[in-house]
Amino acid sequence: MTGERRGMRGLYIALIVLLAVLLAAPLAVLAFRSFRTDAGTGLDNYQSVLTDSGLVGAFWNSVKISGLTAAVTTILAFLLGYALHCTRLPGRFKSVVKTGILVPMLLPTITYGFAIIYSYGNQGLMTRLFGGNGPDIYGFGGLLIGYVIYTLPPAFLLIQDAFKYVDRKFILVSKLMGDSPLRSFGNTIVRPMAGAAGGAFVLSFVLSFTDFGIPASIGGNYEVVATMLYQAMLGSIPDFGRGAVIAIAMLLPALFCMFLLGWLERFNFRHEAGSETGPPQNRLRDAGFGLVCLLTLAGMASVFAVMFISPFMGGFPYDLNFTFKHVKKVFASRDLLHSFRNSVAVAILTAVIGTVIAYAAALLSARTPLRGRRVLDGASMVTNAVPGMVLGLAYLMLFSGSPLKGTLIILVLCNLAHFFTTPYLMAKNAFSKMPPSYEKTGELLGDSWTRTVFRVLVPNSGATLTAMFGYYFINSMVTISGVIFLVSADTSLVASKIKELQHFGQFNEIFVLSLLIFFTNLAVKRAGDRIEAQFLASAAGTASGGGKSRFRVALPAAIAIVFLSFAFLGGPGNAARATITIQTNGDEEAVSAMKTALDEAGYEGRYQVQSLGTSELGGKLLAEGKRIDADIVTMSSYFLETAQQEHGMFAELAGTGSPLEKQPAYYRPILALTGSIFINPAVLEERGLPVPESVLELADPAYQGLISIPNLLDSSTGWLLVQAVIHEYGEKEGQKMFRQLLENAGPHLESSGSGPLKKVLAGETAAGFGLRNQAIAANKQGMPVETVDPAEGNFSITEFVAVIDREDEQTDLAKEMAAALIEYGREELLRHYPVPLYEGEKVAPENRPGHPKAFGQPLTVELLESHQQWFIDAKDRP
Amino acid sequence: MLQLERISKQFNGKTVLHGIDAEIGTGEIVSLLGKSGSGKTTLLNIILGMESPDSGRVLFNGADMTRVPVKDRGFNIVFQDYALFPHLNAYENIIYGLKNRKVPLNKREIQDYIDFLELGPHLLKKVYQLSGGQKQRVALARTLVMKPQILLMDEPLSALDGVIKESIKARIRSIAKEFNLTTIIVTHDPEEALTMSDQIMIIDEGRVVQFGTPDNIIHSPVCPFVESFILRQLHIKRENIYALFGVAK
Repeated sequence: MTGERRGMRGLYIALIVLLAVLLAAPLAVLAFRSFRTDAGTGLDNYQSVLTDSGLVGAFWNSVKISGLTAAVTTILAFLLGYALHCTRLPGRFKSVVKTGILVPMLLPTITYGFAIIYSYGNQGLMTRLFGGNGPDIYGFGGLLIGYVIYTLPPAFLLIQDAFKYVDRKFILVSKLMGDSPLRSFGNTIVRPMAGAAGGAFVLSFVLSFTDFGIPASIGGNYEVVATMLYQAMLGSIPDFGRGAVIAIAMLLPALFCMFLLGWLERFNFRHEAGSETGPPQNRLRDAGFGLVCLLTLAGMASVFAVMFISPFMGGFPYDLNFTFKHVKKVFASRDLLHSFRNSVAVAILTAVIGTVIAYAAALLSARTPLRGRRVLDGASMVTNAVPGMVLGLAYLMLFSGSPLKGTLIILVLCNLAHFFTTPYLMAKNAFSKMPPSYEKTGELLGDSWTRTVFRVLVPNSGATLTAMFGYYFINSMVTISGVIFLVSADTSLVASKIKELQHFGQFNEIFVLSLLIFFTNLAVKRAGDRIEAQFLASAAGTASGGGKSRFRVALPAAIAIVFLSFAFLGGPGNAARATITIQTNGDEEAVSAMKTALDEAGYEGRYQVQSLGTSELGGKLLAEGKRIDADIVTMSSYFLETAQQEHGMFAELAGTGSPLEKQPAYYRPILALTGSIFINPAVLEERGLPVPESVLELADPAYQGLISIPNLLDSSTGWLLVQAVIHEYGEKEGQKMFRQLLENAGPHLESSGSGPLKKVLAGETAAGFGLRNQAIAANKQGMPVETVDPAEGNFSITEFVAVIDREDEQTDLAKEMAAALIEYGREELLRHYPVPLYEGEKVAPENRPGHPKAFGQPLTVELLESHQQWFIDAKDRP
Repeated sequence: MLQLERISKQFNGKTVLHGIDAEIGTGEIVSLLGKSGSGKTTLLNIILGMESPDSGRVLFNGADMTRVPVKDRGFNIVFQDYALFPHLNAYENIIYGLKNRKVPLNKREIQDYIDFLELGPHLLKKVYQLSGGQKQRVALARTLVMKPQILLMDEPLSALDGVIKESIKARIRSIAKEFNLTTIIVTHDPEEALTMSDQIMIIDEGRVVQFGTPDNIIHSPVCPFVESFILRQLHIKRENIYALFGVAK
């Protein structure tokens, strides 16, 4: 007996240590950080967050939208559950509904938002099919649709499960006793379902409250807690104290909800077992509920259809010719395939390790007399309540100095904890159904406890282990909230890559990646379901003859394996691993020109490029100094200068070419951006608006909701606009006008410099402000856009390349590459960004802006910050 | 010979066994008979070694077994639910314990048990394909191949239908005789206990109220409990059956 106890104890201690590292320690650090400020320890962070009207507003926004989502979802889930259990709709129809509702679970939530935009936006698939201008989907409306789609599957599962325990005999009994239909419904359905309905409400509330993917993609300017948290950490300057407080503000309601959920369970009232008695006949009822089911499915299909269509068209919604070019582009991109490979690797590792851990924990909790086993139940309740973003942030804080930072391992660890609850409960449930005499019998027949576990318990858990594996795998594939703070250039996953692609508005690439995730998950799910069914059948003795059923497992399993192995073997990604990481705020064209230059110089396969927003990268530079996970950065001069002053982090670059202006030795210009207005003539005409000649005209209320501009807080392109306004009208007058401009832009205030152009090209807005060269290039490709040089002037910002000085071989290689970027890249860069930066460079006349101007004051971080404050004042203070 | 000496056991301050004394001879079939909660299952667990007594001793052939671990005691049990492993077939279940022994399987000996329990035609069946009686026999075979010194059975008949019950009773008797195996059966059914045991230990509230042969119990009940709990039940049954067959009392 003592030997057995030692085995259990050892396993128990190992699990407790693991849980302490994966759960308790990160949360403790998070709580600690929320009290720490530059000045010491105190409530300052809380005070500053609680008095921040923007944040408090975002909190209430989250509560409002989540509450409404929860109400809609619960009612819908109830109707669907009722349709499946209390009507005589055909079985086949019911099983289609049951499967169909769960489909969104196979996709990252960030995809939902893009699918909604491309379905119901002004130029969306559905909007075009049905005509009109489409509903207002940026902000509240879009969030509501997204959250409902996201929370319906889990709410439905919960309600459907409860319906299984509603004994329909009681409906008959109630009728026989002479109840009125209302009373009968109340007593036989509402009363037994009340607990589950409450649970569904709370569950969908907390899921919406904590989701990041949906607001990240479609939130517009409707701020919610999740986006505030993201901005606090990855906005201009990361503020750990503030982030920690917002995380706590997200955690507490979630904890409360989970507590509430446990309490609601007591209202779950279960008839002994669902009976075989069918529901009474009622054609009208069946037709009504059939319609509800159809409309729900059609609604979901209408959102996601575009995901399957748009990537296969030349340029949705204008060029509808079938093409594989977007798919090919994704498969030819080392970067994108790399992220898919990472996703699959993380999902497999999480699934394997997670299944083992959850199984072991459930084993100790359900089948041993260990005194501390309640702790495991407690841990599973905590992991259930902690939102992914909060856990991710806590991990960032705990592991930031450790070698785990920026590895795939940390992503796996975070997922292990994040998704622990459900697999743990699955295993516990399975164990509770196994006869308790197994271990005694094994012992009497000479087994040690461990041997009984492996000889009896594990072999009888096949179905459960499969389900646990599938759960961990699929959730790891789709999660974004849990990993958004933890991914690095080298470990980006598909979901976080989508966030990056959003920056460039590359919707087709987003959809292709989403499809990859979708089909991988689908194959894994199908294979898992069939394997599970086989295990269950062989245990219950209902195995349907060999050949056919084996094929039914083999087919999806084979597809799953093809998908998975393809992630590792397929495409060009099999080449040697990247050695130099380049982080850039450059746009698509700049990135592509830099890649071409490096490949030409013979560095193919030895580097990788990660794109970040200007303020995101700027924040990283200032906060992390030499610890940044990049070797080369390309960035605006003012950020580089401040970072150099604070951290002395850049290496001197050997002379390459002769820049027109004299500059410090640690950076070299690579391109200059020029701002201008551009328009979509078709949309202007449709709306009966004149062609705007100046930014001032865009501030006219006639352009309400029809212009798109870059956000100064995120994008350096935004500064080109602000400089033009302040230079022409002065700070005071300019601000008045800018306020109206922001009002007109509404949800089309873009965090990426190229965002406005995408909006104009997609017909979402009639005019926008952005990079002149991009609009000209789009126009040359025949896209519906024309450039208008604003009367206020075309302002420019120069971007530079710099190398992080680590005084090692890596640094030398990075220096060589930086030189090659200029030597081989300037020609193409000059074509895209036609501003001469080096002696001897010439630009074609049509590429010269009509009204070139300079701000007249050196561009520094201080100036930017003062302009940002000006911008915030224009935005938030009426 | 198995001797129990003043075995006592408490759970959470409540005494379940009050100094039980008993002697059970080799090859005897003994039933522990009592209502649920009487302490009979606790006593079974103490004999088996799943629980240790708070005081008192368990002696087997003179050796003190009280602190000997389950595995080394050499006793074995057939559980009420049989605890057959569903992922294995009947034969794999039977040889499960033998695989833990270093020595190679003795195929002939195993075959003898299989023949004796008439399991030949069912060896390749999965557990779910076996009937209740067949499961019982597989569980018996799995235990017997381990050559236990004492065979314990927890409610061996409770999960079986009427006719099977009678044949299993006969089977248990023949096993005890054939292998000269001390067999201890826990049951709450007086009829079962009295019709298949050599001796019956009647337990009530943690005390042995009577320990004797069926004849002894029927004809000289020592206390009102034995009379009311055991004899009255049997009398009612007898009258019902007589009435069925039209035989006047």
